[in-house]
Amino acid sequence: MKRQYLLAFCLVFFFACRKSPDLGKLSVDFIVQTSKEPGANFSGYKTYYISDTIALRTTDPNDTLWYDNDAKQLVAAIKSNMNARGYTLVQDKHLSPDLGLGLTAIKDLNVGVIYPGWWWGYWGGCYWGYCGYPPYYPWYGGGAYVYTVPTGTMMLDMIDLKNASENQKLYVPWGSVMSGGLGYTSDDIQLGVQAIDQSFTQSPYIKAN
Amino acid sequence: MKKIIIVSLLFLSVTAINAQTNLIGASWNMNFPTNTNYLTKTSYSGGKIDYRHFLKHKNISIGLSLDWASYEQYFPRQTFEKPDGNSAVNSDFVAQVYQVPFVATVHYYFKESKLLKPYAGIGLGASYMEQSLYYNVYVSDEYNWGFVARPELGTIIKFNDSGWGFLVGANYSIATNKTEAINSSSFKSFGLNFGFVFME
Repeated sequence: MKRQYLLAFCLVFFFACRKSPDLGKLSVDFIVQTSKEPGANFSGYKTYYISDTIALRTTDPNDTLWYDNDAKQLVAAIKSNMNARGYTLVQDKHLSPDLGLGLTAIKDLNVGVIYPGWWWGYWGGCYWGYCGYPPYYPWYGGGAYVYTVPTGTMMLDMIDLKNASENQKLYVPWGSVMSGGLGYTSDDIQLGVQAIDQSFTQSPYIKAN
Repeated sequence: MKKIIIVSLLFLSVTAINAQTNLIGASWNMNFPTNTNYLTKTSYSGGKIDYRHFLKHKNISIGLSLDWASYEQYFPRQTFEKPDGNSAVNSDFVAQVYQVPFVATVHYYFKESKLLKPYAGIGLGASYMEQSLYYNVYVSDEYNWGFVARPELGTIIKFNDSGWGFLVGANYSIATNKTEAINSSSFKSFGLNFGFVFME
């Protein structure tokens, strides 16, 4: 009998090995997660503003803005999508836009988990130049936002400026978290543009009319 | 996990030595998942260690069975929307599931011929599951335990009087392991197993 038990032991050890997955087919395209505030009415907004610079968070505290041609391509993709949905860009944030859009890139840094009610961008200071509003605490109202934000992520937030005074808060009716290899591959900006396009594609409810 | 396997096998060994009429078997498992909204790709990576103790003067055996199955499937890029329509995720991913059911079994043996010893039975027990979703450069893991019920059907093909034989079996496994990512609360599969047994 001993031989049979030995055989059985060998087989168990062989079987107990979990296979390594074949990740060859996996694309490098960004994962795109979008969330909207339940009940948000996007046709209530007509105009928007977005800065030509991108807020940047890295391990280097001096890296706070990203403004080269790559950054402009990403911002242009957002403008193009917003215009296509019927919103009008205002050139200056002092012209009372209904919506403020902010894009942040996170490199070499893991932000952790975002819980409902805690706004990831609230790290002090003026964000995307919306300095007129800081007395109002930024706020995701919907409770739909629980994200892990790993390195290589872009975050796009749409902020309700139209009702900021009335709400006493900066509501975020919609946001997109795009995670991928930002900063790791040569074609990552193109992938970033695709991710922005995908954010709007999977959010057909964003339309001015 | 390895510890559980080793302890289980030691237990099997000791029981087998003390008993008079026993069966011990090792099989290769093929599993066909029948989850309509999740993994459906056939797994060829699986195995089973079977121990059965035949009750005296009855066509019944009781035993223990330890299985192992590794599933893997690539899902092309698609958008998953939450039912409330407020959140959506777009990505492609590789899903991997590693399932280890450990069940107590009861088998009934039909009329035995010189060559065949057909049986039907059921296994009830625990199912340990490791699930991983690989997407882009990230991975998310989920580990859990569930209850498993597994009706079985098969036959032992005896070589001669040496005690050795082939085992050919089929089963349908319903496990209550949850998959949070797709809001699923069960994992089902149809399995075929081919192996060797030794009876004494």
